[in-house]
Amino acid sequence: MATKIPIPKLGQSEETVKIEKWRVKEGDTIKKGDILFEVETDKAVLEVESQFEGTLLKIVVPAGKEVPVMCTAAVIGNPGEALPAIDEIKAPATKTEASKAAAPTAAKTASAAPKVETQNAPAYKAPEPVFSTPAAKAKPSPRARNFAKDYLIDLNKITGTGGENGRVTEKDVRNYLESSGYLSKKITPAAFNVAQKEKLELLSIEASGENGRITLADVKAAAFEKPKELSTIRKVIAKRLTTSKQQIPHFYVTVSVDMSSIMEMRKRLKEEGINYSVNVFIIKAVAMALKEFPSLNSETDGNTIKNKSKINVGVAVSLDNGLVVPVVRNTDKKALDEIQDEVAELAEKARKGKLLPEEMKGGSFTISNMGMLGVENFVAIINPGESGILAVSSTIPTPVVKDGQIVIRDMMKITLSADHRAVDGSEGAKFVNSVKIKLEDKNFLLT
Amino acid sequence: MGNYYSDLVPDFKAQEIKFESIKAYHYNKSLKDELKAKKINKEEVQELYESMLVIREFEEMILKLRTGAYEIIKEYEYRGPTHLSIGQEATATGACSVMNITDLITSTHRGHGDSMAKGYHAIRRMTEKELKERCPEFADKKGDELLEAVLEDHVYRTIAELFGKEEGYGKGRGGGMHIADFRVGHLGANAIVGGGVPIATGAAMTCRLDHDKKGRVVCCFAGDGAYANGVVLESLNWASQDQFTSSMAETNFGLPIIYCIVNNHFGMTGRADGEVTGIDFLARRAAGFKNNNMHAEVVCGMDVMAVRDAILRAKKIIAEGKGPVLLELDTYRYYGHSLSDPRNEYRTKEEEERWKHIDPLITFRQAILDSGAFSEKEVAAIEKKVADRNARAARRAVDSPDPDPVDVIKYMYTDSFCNEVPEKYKKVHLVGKVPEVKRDSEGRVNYRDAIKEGIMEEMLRDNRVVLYGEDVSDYGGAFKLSKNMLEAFGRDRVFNTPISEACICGTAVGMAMTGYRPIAELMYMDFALMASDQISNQAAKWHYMTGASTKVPIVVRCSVGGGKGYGGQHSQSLESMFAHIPGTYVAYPSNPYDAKGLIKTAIRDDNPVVFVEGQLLYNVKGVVPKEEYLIPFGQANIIREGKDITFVVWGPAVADAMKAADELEKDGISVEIIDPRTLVPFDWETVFASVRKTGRCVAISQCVDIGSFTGEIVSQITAACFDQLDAPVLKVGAKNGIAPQAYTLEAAFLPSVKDMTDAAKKLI
Repeated sequence: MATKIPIPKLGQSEETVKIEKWRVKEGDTIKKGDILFEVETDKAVLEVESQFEGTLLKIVVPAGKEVPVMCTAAVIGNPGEALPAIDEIKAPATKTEASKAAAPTAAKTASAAPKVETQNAPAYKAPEPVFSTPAAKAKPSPRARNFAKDYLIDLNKITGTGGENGRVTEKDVRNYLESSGYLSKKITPAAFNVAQKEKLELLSIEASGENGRITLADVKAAAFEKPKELSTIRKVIAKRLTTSKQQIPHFYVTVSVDMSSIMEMRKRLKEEGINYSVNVFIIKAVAMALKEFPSLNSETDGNTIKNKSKINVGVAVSLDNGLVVPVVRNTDKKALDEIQDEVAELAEKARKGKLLPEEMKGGSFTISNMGMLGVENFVAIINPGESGILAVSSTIPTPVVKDGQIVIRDMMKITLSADHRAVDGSEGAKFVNSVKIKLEDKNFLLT
Repeated sequence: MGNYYSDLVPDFKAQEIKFESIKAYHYNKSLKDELKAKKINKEEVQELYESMLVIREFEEMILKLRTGAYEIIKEYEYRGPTHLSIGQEATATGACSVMNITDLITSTHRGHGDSMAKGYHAIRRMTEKELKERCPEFADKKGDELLEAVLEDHVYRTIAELFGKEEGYGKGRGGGMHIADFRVGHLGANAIVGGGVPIATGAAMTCRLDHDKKGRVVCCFAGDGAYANGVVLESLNWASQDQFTSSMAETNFGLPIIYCIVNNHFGMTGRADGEVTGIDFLARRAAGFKNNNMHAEVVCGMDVMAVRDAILRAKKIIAEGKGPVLLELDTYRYYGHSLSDPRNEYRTKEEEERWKHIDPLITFRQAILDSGAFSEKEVAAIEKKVADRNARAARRAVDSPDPDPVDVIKYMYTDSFCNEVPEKYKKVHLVGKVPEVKRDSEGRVNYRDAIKEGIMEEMLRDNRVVLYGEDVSDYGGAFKLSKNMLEAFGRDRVFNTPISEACICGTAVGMAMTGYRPIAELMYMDFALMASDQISNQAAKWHYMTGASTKVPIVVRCSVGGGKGYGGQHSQSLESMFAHIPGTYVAYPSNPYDAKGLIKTAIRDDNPVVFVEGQLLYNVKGVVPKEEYLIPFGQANIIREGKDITFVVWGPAVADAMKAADELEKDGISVEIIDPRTLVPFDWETVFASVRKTGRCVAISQCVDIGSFTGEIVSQITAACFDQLDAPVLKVGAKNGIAPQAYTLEAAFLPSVKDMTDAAKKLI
């Protein structure tokens, strides 16, 4: 019997998902565990493996379409088998649109509160023709839109005069073409075609050609500069970090850590065939320091503070198209090698887009390490829901004064960003120094 | 013949009004005696028995089909009505056995028997040439073999229609309840109780007037239930009119029709006896319509010989010009109204047994054996022949093709048009001078006379065109449109009718089905609602329901009284209602020129036309050529060209729309006005082209706005021209209410010039 394959609900919060890419096509033979498609959630792009075997009979949800979770993505079964009935996919209603749509209706109902006719109330009253409420700008008329198709213009920029609400009519478009100087603009046919494809406005394209003619190069430049929509993941980053910067009063504390003994130890271990990244030591040190400073392992909304009993350190991993933060759970309870293995696995998964939503949830503190990128110092933005983030810079051989002598040591700057609502400056300072001490004392770390 | 002047002298002398007696069940001959007296021969006896057997075999097939017991087509699942006439066979056979091929019948929803019998006996009367004309596929057969093949074809086409097959009599469009075969004078079974009675009456009108059809008789079958129905009683009154036989008659001949009340005692379940009527015999109805009781008799409808005898005597009366005749055929329906009817809820088993005891087939079979005409063996052979023939036909019907779904609305309208009048109808008999239509010095004629001129031209062209309605003859019509036409064309072609709107339209359908081209006048369009069954269920549907085997070229002229302060029942513009009924055409001229051109087209078109006239337009003048011209249906008129907005408007609203356009012109808004002239067919392309040009449209009429045809126009424009619209399409009509009497109210009720300019300004 043919089986409907749903798009799994990959996290708790997703209501809608988008299949980024199909990895199989109709007619393909599918084995259990084969990757069917990639789904983009608001956290990451995930691969979905098949739980079923058979032939892929039909792809129901095409790539790129936003659909509700758990709707049927495809049908699998025996070749030639009849397809089961599939419910129509309803376009997911976004809350903002729904509330927008509801608002004028309510307003209209209120303003049109019926005068009560006690006599001769008509049993059958025809609705009055519904025009948009005067406040709302009328949409351009179908005729205007149809007419405008042949021109590189933005109808929203035209002032309408039609009907009672200023609908943009064909006449308005004609007037606009004349008054805006559109008609006097010159453009090569090839440039026009590309501009139309790219939905560019003619008036916004800078002309470089002979006699002010817009050339193909002009159009390409304009198309390049045209604002494009962010990917889902970038939108999420934008939203979260903006929230963080707007709502969390950050303060920053920087210390320099002498990493010489750790670097030495790493070298020695490497000779023994054991490979530890610098980050592993930092993660471990941070986890231990967090035990001492619980306010940095908390979350506040400005009214209440929530202490977290578990220390789950998130590790920022940079990807081509953004940033993800997989979480090492119970970090304080894990040994260096455990942390090393887990971080390596998570990072690998992250780079391949295979991270599960669960693996990115529940972090209590984040480390952002740019040590590999040759930076002297930087500050990070706190992940909302946490109280601090530690920015780790490159380890650089630096002349320092030690015991009254100038010596060259492997120095690394770490900068704590902390939420001032939950943490005070001195606390922050103590915390970074605690991390510093742990990193400089190799024995401490190895215990 | 002359004009009719009422000249009564009041005389209130005490007296007794006497009713003639009505005979019941007087036939008492035995078959043996009738054979001896040579009132019937052996061959006719066999024909009677065989005819009844064909019917019963057919009806029992339906019965068995429902239980899977009809072996030969056991697998076939019949869906459709099951109004069986088992028990009533003697009525159909007795009547049809003594009718000629060209004699006519109408029948009922329980009409399988009538249809079978009319065809069966007509075929038996056909010459070899006629048989071959009917079934050219049997050209190589002759004699009994040919007759047998054609009879089997008849059974086949009847069953095929019941099964909704393309080869059925109505190409599967009508089914058993609407079966008809015009080639043998079967004008149709009718699923509206009583609906066929005025049609039969109209057919009799044609037979009375058409010299070519003289001597034909119409036999109108209808049940006891129908004889409580208004249009049936209207028909009885219609048929009995003195003007057909009195000194004022031009053709002095009583209507050649036999009303056969097939009294099976149940109108669905309502009992004629002691429940839903107040009389013992339905034949008493006749006493109310004609002093001679319409020669009424009650006949035993279980005795085929008694029915046959009564019809033969009725035909004699009719041949003498003394029709109409009414016969009550007392019979019984063995099964319920349909097979889903649990008849034990309203009658006893004992009652059924008593009737089955005098079963028409069993008693006639016994009479045949008693008379010695045929032996038991011979009778059994007849029975087997009929059963085998029906079975073969049923098998063939099941296997025959279903209609193609793409043809779902094929046959709704006919394309045919009376381009050429048959020679015999070209000669028109005039009894006086044709009245002249007044033209002023500029050649202008008023709307009323433009219509009159159109009608008269058509009446001079074609003798089949007749005009009738209330007050149209001597008086010249309520609005004097037909003044002096009686004096020119005579009372056969211009005659008054009783105030019976349903019957006016129903008789027109019957006349049209039998070749005439009647113009029926309804004084006010509001009254068309009284005739809406005859216009909407009958006139509109018969071409389709019979698979295009008949045409109904009638014109129902009706005028709209709106704007005169006549109130709710004399002011309605109802054209939208009739435009909603598939099968009718609807025309509404807005000016004299169109009026003449359209009425002539309406008369020549072979489809039924609802022709709407505006009473307020009757005195509007316009140039109307004296010469003949026709305006094709479905061709809109661009009355005024414009570029900013299109008005689609018809009827009296056109004049207001013109004023509105003048007003708007002052504001620099240029209006294009399109008068569709006919709502069905509608000239969509002209309207679309205009809207594509202007980008804006208001549809205007005087119909009440809700449900008006203007809404259809808005919908079609929105679908076809959406991308060319600069504004929503609006409609303007009368208020959603009832036409008031008060001047102030009616002015507010009807759409005004301001309503039109306001609508236009909203869109600019």
